[in-house]
Amino acid sequence: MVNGETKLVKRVDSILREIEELKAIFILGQRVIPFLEELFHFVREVGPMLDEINKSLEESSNKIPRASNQLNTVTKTTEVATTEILDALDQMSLKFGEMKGFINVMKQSYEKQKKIAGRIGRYIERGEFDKVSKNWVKFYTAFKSLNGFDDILEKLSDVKRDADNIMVALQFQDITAQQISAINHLIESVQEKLNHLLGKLGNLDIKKDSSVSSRNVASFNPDAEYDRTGAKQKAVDEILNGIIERDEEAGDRASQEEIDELFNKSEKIKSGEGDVNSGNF
Amino acid sequence: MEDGKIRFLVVDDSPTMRRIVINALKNIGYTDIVEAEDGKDALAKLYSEKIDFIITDWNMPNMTGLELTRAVRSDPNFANIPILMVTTRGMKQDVIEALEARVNNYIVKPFTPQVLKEKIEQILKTV
Repeated sequence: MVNGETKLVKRVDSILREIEELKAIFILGQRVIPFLEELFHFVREVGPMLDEINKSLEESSNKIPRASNQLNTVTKTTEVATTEILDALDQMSLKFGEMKGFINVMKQSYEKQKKIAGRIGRYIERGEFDKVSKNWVKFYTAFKSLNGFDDILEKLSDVKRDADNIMVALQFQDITAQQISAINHLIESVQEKLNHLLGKLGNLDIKKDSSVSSRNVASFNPDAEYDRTGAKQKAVDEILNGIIERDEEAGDRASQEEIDELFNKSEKIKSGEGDVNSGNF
Repeated sequence: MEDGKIRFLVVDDSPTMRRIVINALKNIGYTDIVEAEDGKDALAKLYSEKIDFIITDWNMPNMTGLELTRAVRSDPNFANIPILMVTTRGMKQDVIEALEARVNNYIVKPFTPQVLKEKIEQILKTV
């Protein structure tokens, strides 16, 4: 009987323990479930955010090679224009040297003429007219040798052409300024994307450098290029001339089809299919 | 245009480019020149000075050369002023847009003083 009671008590104790364990499990469950729910929500929210981060990083990283290419273009443009300016300056310096040579020869001839003229004057005063006539021949020979003016004028016109070339080359400054503005714009848009992302992740913010003013997109041409072949102007002129002629004939403006036709013609010229003398600068 | 002297308005946001255009104009004999740094400034100059000829860049802050052209053409007082666009833009669509806005002629940068001279003479023959 005692044995039977003991067994029963042990069994009840065991059941009570199991109930306690179950209770503990339920309590743990009650605590864990909201956490799991929160975790589930987090994962659900993080998915699109990761997608967005991925997209933004992809977009941003696509812009970096473009910025890098633009920087290469700036470097190239600067190098080409600087070389052209230096070449023109070399030519000018050479021509100044040549002109100096011509002027020196002319100066010597002038000094010689001055001397002979002085002598002639003295001979006239003394009435030694046979010497006057001899010296006059000398004077005339020296005068005839004074023929550097045309050479100097020619050199001056060459120098003017070199100066014009420098003025053309200096336009690279405006072109590179537009290329750099395009790079600034790319960098600013990457910065904006990163700011937006960091803001989403934890209200972090990259401070924008207030000294850098963001330029209006309309204030620069990202495709600006330093092309001195004259091909672009030629293409534009084909269009303009076609339209002007047509306006004169018909009294109205050209249609889109006609402009397209003219442009196709110009593009053929640019690609070398047509005959054109490029390099009209 | 007084006594055959043409007063030019040179519009460009780049001081270097303004100087280059002015220098080229002076070299070809035009010395009466007014400057503006963008379209807005150009419009103000147009109202305050007597201008006969506009040479404008396209890409500028505040007001582009294209917007300036449209503004000028829509004002009956200035609708017939010759406008020469001098720009880095040389794409087909750019030329079409400029023509639609009614520029008189178009130069692609970089340009030579000779091209500038020819274009000005071409415009002056027709106006």
